[in-house]
Amino acid sequence: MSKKKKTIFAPPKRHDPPEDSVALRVVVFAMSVLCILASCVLVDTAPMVTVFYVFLAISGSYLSYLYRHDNNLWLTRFAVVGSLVVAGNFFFDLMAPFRTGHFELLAPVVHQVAGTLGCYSFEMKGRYALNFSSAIALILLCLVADVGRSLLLGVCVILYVCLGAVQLYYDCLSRTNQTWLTKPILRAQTSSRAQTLYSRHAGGNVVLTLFLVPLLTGLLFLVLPRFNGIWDLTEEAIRNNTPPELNYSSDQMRPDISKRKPYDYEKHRTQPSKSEGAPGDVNAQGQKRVTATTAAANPAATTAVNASTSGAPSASATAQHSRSEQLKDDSHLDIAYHAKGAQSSNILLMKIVAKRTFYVRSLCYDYFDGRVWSADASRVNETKEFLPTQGSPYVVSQAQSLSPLKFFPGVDLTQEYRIEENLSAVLPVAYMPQEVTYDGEKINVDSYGVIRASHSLTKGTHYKVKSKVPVYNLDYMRQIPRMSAFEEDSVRYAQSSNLQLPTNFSSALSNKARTIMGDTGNWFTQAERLSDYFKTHYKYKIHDNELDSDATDPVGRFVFKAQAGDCQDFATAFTLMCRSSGIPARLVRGYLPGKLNDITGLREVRASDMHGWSEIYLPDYGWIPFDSTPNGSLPAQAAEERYSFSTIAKKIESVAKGHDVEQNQHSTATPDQEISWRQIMEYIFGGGILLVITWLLIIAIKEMIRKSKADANLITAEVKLFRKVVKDLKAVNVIRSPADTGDDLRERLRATIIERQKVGLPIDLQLESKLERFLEAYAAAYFGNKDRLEELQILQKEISDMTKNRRRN
Amino acid sequence: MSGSAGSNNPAIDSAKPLCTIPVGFGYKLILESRFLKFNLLSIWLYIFAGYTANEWMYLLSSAFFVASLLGLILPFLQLWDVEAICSMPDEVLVSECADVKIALRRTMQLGMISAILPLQSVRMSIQLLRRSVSKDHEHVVPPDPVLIDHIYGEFWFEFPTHALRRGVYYLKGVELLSSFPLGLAWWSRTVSLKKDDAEPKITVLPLVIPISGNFLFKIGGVNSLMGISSVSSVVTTQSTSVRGVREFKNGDSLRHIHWASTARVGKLLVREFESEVLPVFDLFLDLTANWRDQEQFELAVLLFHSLAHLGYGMGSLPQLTLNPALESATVASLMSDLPQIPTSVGWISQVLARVEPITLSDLPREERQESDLSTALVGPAERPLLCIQPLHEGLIKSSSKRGDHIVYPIKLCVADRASISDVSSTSALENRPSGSSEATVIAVLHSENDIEAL
Repeated sequence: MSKKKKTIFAPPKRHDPPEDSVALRVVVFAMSVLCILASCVLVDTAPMVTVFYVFLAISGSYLSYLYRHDNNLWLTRFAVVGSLVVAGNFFFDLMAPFRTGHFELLAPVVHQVAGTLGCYSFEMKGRYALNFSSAIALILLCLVADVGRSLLLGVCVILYVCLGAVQLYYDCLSRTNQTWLTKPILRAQTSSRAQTLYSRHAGGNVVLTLFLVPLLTGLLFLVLPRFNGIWDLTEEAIRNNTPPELNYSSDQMRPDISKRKPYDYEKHRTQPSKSEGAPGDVNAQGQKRVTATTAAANPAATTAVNASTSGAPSASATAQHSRSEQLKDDSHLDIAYHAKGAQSSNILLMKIVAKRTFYVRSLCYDYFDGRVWSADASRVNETKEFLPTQGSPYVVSQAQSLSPLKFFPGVDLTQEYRIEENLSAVLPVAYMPQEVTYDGEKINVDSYGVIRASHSLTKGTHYKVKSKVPVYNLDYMRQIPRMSAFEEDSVRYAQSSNLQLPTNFSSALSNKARTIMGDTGNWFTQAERLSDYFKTHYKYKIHDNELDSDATDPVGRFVFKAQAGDCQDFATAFTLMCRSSGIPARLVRGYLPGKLNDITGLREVRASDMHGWSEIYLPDYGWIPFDSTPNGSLPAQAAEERYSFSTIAKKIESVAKGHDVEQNQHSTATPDQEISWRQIMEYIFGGGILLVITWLLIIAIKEMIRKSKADANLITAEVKLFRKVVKDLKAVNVIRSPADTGDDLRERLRATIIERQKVGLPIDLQLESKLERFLEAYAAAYFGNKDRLEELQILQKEISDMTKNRRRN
Repeated sequence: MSGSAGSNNPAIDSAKPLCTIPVGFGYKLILESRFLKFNLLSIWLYIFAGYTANEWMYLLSSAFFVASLLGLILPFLQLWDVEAICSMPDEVLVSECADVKIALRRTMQLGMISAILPLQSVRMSIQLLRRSVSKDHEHVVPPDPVLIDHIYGEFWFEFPTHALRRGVYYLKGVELLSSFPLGLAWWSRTVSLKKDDAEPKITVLPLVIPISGNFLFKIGGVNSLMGISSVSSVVTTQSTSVRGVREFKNGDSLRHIHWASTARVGKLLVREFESEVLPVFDLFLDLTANWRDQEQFELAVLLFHSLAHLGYGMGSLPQLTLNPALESATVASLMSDLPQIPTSVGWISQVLARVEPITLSDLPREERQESDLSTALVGPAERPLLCIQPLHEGLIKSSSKRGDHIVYPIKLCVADRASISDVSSTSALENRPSGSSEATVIAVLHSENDIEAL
C-alpha cells in the first residue's frame, strides 16, 4: 500500500509533471538567486544569512532536478529543516525591537520570503513549481520596493525581466510538448522527398525575438503614465469623505463680496513693542545675528548655534566656514544677505529615503521688519516637550501646531533622514510630521510646528519621520466658497501675528497685490493668482553680491525694479502682498526635495537646495504652502522624478557635456565636482549603447558593401539570366540551395516532375530539356563564350513562359 | 538546448483551457488561466508602483504588460506567416493508412518581422473528416498532433493516418497550434488545403476477397445470351470442372455418362459439371434493411464488392441496385461526389465506398412512403438477383485481437425480382427480411473467411 507523501508547501493542486528542461531550471535558479541577493542587500541582512539562503537555493535546485521523477520524502525533510531555520530567523528578527528599541517589520518579512524561496527550491520538480518559484522571486522584488529605489534594484529588475523572457521561452517549449495532451507528442516526420531547402534568413532568430521583451518594456516604461499623485488623491479622498463645504457658513451669513470694504492693512503695520524684541539691528556682516531675546526664548536654538559656532569642524576654508554658519543659524532670515557660498555649494547636507518627492521644512518666520524675518519669541517659546520612551517614536502630532485640522488633506509618508553635515538642532521634516523616531534625549515642538532636538544635528545623525503630507486637489480648493466678512475678520483676528507688515511697506505694493489677486474667489484662489503672477512675470536670479547695496526696501526693489531675485525675494514679496490683502501668511525656510541618486536610490539634499517659500492660512485646512518661484510646485505636489525620453536625453546630454544639466534653480554647475558613481555608470551605460549601435551599424554597412560589390563585379548578364531561371523554377517548387550545381538543380527538377505527375499536379514535361539546354549554354557563356548569350535569353524566356503557364494553371 | 525542453517526457498535462475564442478566417485564440493571471499581475504591479512611487515597479509592470502583449501577438504572427499544401492518395483500401504529405512554407509576407520571428514549436494535426448520411461530416478521431521544431523556408511532413474504414474522407485543413515564444496565449489556425475550390479527398474502397464460386450452381443461369444486353464478353464454354455425379435426365449427353459409377450403382449416372450455365447475376443491396451494426453492414458491402468483381471476372458485370434507389435524395447526397465514370466495376467500387446503412429516421417522409424499385430492378427475369439479409441472432466469436465478441451474420439469398420490386422501402423495413418468403438462401456468412470459402 503506497503511502501518500506530504509536502511542506502547498504546491499547485493540478498535476505537475516532472520537468526535464535543464535550461528552464537554470534560468529559474538564476532568478531566485538574483532576487535573494538583491533583497538581502537592500534590506539589512547578515552576510551569513544571505549565504545560507543562496546555499538553500543552489542545493535545492540541484537536488530537485536530480530526483524530479522520484517522490522523495528526504527532500521534503530537507526543506522542512530549512524552513524551520528560516522561521527561527524570522522570529529572531521580530524580537529585535526588544534589543534595539526599533520595530522593523520589513526586514523579517523579506528574510522569511527569501528563505522560503530557498527552501521551495527543493520542491521544484515540475513546471508549475518552477513558475511558482519565479513568482516568489517577484514577491521579493516587490517587498523591497519601498526601500529600494537605487540603480541596484533597477538592474535587478532589468535582469529579472530578461531572465523572465528566457524562462517563458523554455516554459513555452515545455508546454508545447505537454499541454492538453494525453500522451507524449512525437516530432513530425519529415518526408523523404522533403524539400529541406531554405534560405538562412528564413529561420528567424529566437534571441532577437526574446530581446523584444526588454526592448519594448524599456520603451513602454519611458512613456508609461505615472499615477503616484492620483493614488495619493484617491487615498486622501477615501479617508476624508466628509464634504468640506459643510464647514462653511450658510449664504445668509455671507454678505455680497462687492460691498465689502477693502482690507485695511495699516492696522497691522509693525508696532514698536513688537519690533523691540525682533532682530532688526542686523550688523552689516550678516553673519551672527542672534538676539538675546531669541536666545532667551529658545534655549535649544541657542545651544545649537553656540555649538555650531564653537565646534564647526570645517574651519580650513573661510567659505566653508561661512556655509556651516549659515546652515546652523536658524533664528532669523536676512533677505538682503545672500549666502553666495551656500547657494552655489554642492555640499551634501542630508540623504533621505522616501517614496515621495516633497519639500523639506525646517523653520518658520512670521515677523518681518523690512529686511529680516524672525519668529515671534513668545511663540517659539511655547514648546511642547517630548521625552523618549523605549521602542516608541515621539508622537509629535500631540502638539497643537502639528495636529491636522479637520479637512487637512494628508497622506502618510515615512521618511528616513541621514544627516551628512553639521546642522542646527532643527529637524528637517516633511510637513506635517506626526511621529519622529530619533535617538535623542528629547525633542521640542514650538507653535510654528518646528521640531527641535536637544542638540544640534551632527554628521551621521539618523532619524525617521512619519508625516501627513498634504495632497491638495487644486480644482476643489479653488471652488471652496469664500468666507463671509465676519468669518474673515474672525480669522484675521486670530491670526493677527501673521498679518504683520513692516513700516516700510508701501501702498504701491498693496495696490499691486490687490490688482493681481482681485476680489473674487477664496483666499486660496487669490493667493494662487499672486503666485502664478510671480511665476510668469518674474525671473529667478541668484544675486551677484553677497549683501545688497540698497537694503532699505528689498521687497519694493524686487517687485518694481529688479523683477528678478532669489527664493527669499519671491517668498517675502508673496507673503507680504498676501498679508496686505488680509490673508494670513508666513515665510517658511527649508530645502527643495533634492535629487534622487539613481545608484543609491537616496534623495540627496545639498546646500544648494536651501529654499524659502510661504504658507497661507485657510481655516479647517491649516497652513497651505505656496512656492511662488518660477519652478516652484507648491501647493501642488512636487513632480516625481521619472524616467522618460526627455530625462534620458538630458542624462545623455549631461554625460556628453560632462556636467549635470538638470541643475535646479539653486544649483549651478561646478566643473570641478568629483566624478560620482552615477556618472561612471552613465558613462558605462552610454558607452555600451554606443558600442552596440556602432556594432550594428558596422554589420549593416559591411553587408551593404558586400552586396553592392557582388552586384557590381560578379553579376554579369548571364548570371542575371541564371538567377531569373532559378526564380522562375520556384514557381514549380524547385528551390535551388546555395551549394547546388547545375546538375543538382536538374535533378531537383526531375524529382519534382515525377512527384507532381504522381500526385496529378500540372507541369510542363519540356521544362527539363529546356533547363538542360539552358545550363549547358550558361556554362559556356559563363566561361567566356559570349556568343551564346542570345540563346540563353531565348531559353530563359521559354522557361519563364512554361513556369508562368503552370502558375496560371 | 531548446530541444531538451520536455522532450520524451512521459508525464503529460491535460489541463483544460480557460476559453476558446473563434476569431474567424480559421483562427482561434485559446487562453489559459495563466494569461489572465499575467494580466492581473501587470495591473496589480502598476497600482503597486503607484503606491510605492517606485520607478522600478513601473518597469516591472511594463515588462508584464509587454510580455502579455507579445505573448498574444507573436504566435498569431507566426501562424499568419505560414501556408500549406498537401499531397495524398485519391484512393486507398479499407484498413490501409493514407500517407498524407503536408508542406508548410513560410510566406515571409511580414517583412522584417518574418525575418526576426522564427517559426518554431508548432503543433500540427490534420483535420480529416468522414462524410456520413446522418450529418454532413463525421469527425474522425484525428491523428495525434505532431511537433514541428523549426521550419526554414519549406518543409514537407508525412502524416500517416490511422487505418481508415470505408468511406470518403475530406482533408478540411491542417490545424497549427502555437504559443511560441512566450507560452502565454495559444493561437490555432486551420489552414485550408483546397485545390480548385475543392477539398482534397480520399476514397476508401472496400476490399475484394477472391471467391471460389462454388455457390454459383445454386443461382441457376441462362442458357441463352439473348436479352442480356449488358454482357459484352460471354463465357460460352461449359466448365470442365466436375463437381460430382447425378442421375441421368432426358437430354443429357451420353458422353457425360460416368460408366464406372453407373456400374457400381446400377443406374445411369452422369457427370455433374461445376457450372452448367452462365454465371450471370445482379446485386441488390437494401440500405434500409435492419442492419444490426456497422460491422454487419461492412460485411455485406465487402461481399457485394467481391461478388461484383467475381461477376466481372467471369465476363458478366453484375448490375447493382440499391434501396433506396440511387436517384433518391438520401442516397444521392451520399453519391454527390461520385466520379463521372461509365458503369463498370470501378463505378461499383465507388458506389460501394459511399453507401451507408440508412435508418427510417434518416429518410425524408416522401421517401419512406414511396419507393419505386421496379424501374431500378429492370432486367431479364431469368437473371438471378443476389441480395443480402441481415440476421439478428448474434454469435459469440473469439479472436486474438478483440477477444470474445458478438457478430451478426448475413444471409446471401437469391431473391425474386418481382417480389422485391413490389415491396416499398417502408415495408422493407417493417417486413424484414425483405422478400424473405421468395428468397433462396445460398449461404450464411459470419466473416471475411466465409466469403472466401463461398
